[in-house]
Amino acid sequence: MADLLGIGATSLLSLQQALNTTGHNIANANTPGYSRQQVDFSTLPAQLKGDFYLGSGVQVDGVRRVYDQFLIDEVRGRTASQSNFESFHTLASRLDNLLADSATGLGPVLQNFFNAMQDVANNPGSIPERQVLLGEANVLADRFHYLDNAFASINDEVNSRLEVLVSEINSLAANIAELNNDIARATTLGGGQPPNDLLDARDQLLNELSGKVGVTTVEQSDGSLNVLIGNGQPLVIGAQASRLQTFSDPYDGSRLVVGYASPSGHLTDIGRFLNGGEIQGVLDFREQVLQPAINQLGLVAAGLTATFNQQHRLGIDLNGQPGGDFFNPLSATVAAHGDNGGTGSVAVTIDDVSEITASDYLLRYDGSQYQLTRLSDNTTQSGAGPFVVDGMTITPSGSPAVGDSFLIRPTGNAAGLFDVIVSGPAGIAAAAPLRDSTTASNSGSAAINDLAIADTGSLPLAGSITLTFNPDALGAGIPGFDVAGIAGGPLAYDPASESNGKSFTLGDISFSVSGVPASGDSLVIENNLDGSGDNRNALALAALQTEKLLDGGLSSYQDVYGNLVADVGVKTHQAEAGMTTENILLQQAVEARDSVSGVNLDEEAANLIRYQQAYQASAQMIAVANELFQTLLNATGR
Amino acid sequence: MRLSSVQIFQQGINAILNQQSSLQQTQLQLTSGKRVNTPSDDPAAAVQILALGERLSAVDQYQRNADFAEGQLAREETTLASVGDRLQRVRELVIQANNATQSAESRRAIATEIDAQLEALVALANTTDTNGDYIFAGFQTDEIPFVRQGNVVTYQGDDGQRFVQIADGSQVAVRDSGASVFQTIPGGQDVFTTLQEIVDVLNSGMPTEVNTVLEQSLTNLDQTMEHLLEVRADIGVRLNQVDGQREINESFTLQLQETLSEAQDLDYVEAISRFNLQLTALQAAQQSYVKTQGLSLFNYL
Repeated sequence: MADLLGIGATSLLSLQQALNTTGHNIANANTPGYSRQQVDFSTLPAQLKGDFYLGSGVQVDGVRRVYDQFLIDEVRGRTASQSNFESFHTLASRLDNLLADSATGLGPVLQNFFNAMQDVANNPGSIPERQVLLGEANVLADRFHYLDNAFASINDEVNSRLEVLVSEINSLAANIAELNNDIARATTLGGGQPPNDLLDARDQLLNELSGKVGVTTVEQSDGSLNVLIGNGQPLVIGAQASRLQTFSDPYDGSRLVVGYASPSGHLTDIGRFLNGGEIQGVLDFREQVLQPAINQLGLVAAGLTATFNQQHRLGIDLNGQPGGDFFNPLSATVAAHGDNGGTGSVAVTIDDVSEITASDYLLRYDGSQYQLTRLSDNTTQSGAGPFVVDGMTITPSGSPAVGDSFLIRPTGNAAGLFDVIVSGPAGIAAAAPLRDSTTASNSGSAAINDLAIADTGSLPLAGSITLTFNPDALGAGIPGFDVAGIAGGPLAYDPASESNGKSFTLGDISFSVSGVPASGDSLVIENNLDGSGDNRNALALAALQTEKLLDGGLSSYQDVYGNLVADVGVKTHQAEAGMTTENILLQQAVEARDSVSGVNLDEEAANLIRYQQAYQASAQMIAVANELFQTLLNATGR
Repeated sequence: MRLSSVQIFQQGINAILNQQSSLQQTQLQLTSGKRVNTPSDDPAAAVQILALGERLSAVDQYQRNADFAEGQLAREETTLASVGDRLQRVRELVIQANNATQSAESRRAIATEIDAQLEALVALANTTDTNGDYIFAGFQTDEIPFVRQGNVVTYQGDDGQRFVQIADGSQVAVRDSGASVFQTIPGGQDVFTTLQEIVDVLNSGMPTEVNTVLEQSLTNLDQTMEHLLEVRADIGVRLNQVDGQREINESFTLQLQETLSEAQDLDYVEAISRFNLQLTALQAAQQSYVKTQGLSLFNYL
């Protein structure tokens, strides 16, 4: 039955809940992820008194979180994006700072090396200049190694970040699974009433998880939340959490990848499916910035080695020996996939370093033929091999199993393996192997120019080559040079029309003749014995610095390095701009969520006063009810 | 719009943190004096700075090469000037010897002096530079080029010429081979043979042949001296080329340095006023934070 005392009692009890809830809000004003809670009042069912209804007081329907699911999801999504950009930017800045100081970069060292080459060209017979050149060459090698090591340590940092992230994701997933369990139980126990604090805690964990890896959630009927990552891989299903793992890249043991182990133990790499969060930033950095930088640096090293060696082999050193290789010859690396079942293998030769790119290549056997993919732009070629592409010849052999694949990296390890192998100062080939002369008794003006040899394999010449001008060399009235000492003569030459210059080739030797010879005049080509003052090959080596020898003839060594620096700079700059935008968007999302769910202490203070007044009024109500009863008692008392 | 208490605090703090970060960036620029501290600050400028550094170093090397070339050419020039002087003396002696008043005795005396001049010329032809390289030996600079045995002077060198790079695509010859200077005289014979002939005929004491030989020798001498003058003129042209290139290199260096400064250096005026602005903004953020944090309804309860 409703009466003033009863109403007062319900009022006091309800207001106590309200005051407690307000106190709970104030206490948790700084708890991350807390949504303010409100008490829902409703009237108790009215009672029929005769022909009218009399109210019977107030009841508490429940305590509810004030929240907007859309805003919570928005914050989660933005957290994932912002963490992605931030971790990408942090790692890219590492590389950016590494390349920032021009004194520790490659540019000045490359320059000093070629300057030293010029000094050798000025004084080819002198040992001190050659020693300086060797010194600068070793400094160059050291600088390549330093940069390569710096890249490798950033790679190590990427690996350890992945390990930490995976363990954090696993522990967050385990916690969310536990909360799912608790929430399901609490919801059942509470008869459908939401366990607000547990729900807030789970939202907070999901937020943290989004910072590590982007997630999507699916709500279940019992109140638990399934969490999926990537393109549908399950992370938390009800009260069960899966475990992510890191394991070695099947092509390259120095890199870690992220994935699942199936019940049978087979490891699947899901890195390319992951979307959002720190982990995407780390993986994208490695693929889009670090790996291309390593390959690009390798291209400078491999390009310099191949082109410099090629020219050096065409010269002779202070001992008259052919120059040989100045730098350690480099080759492409081939890595077989760790799960390859067959016995196939792949050999790669680099034929034309000017066509080499900074991309990696994948070769897959599908059972009947091979498919070659260039990873920078995903263009493919199929066939039985060998493949001639981008300056390489790729020759598969053996018996691969279906699905076997190989990763081909033309320049990946070039910077680390770059080395000086020339034997010493005397081994530097500054001179050219052949020289020409005009016989002193010549009365004409003919001379040889541009004497060159394509391959020093046929040297030294067995004897000198003599060209004697004969007006009837090729028949009556057809002038030219009779050739002695090598096959290939006679050479037609008409001074009347060709005296400006005419090119000839005899075996590997090429040259041109100009001027007007008299009958019987001779020109001689001979081995350059004791030619220690000859600097022709040194000049040619020094000239390599400015020639566009790489990137299909578009870039010099400095240009390729410059492209590397620009690439890293641009990507870091873009990441910075992206991160700034994401920071603002995240801030806005958090503000929007907080404006609905956040605790405002002034508002809670006002609520305290409101409920306190109502409580005082209710207490007064009971006092009045008591007095009424006393009056009634006194009225009927004897 | 409703704000939570945490939000009010966060906004104030974020403003302060952002200002601090901008201030620090400006401070870094001011202390280093550079506008571009990492490639990401301005990627295009960073690449340009690298390329300019390379060019400056290259042009510097070319200047060093030009100095070296000038030294070599100057040495050759002075040597050939001495050769010319001695040939002039020989010419005077030949004219003197051709005089009918000469006796066999006096002719032999002249022959002795001409022989001495011949020795001196061989020595000049075997001049070495500061490194000990023979400058008229072609490529075989470690071996003495002209060897006199008895009355024959043989050339042991070759036709090689040494070039020096003084600019991109610009090489200058700094040596001429002994053959091209002393032996290959267009229309004539080599200078040592000519002098030897004079000495021999003067020593032979045969008056009838002397005149013919001496006449011919005078012609040969004249051809030799003319050839020498041509070589010296060519050296002069090359010295001019080196000089001209050195000037071009100098002004190119200046240009490069200017461009480098534009790309790399900080505009101090702009940076300092930006710094002051950011400093003021930071102070304002800090002061406004302090003022708003003190406001709370609980102060009045």
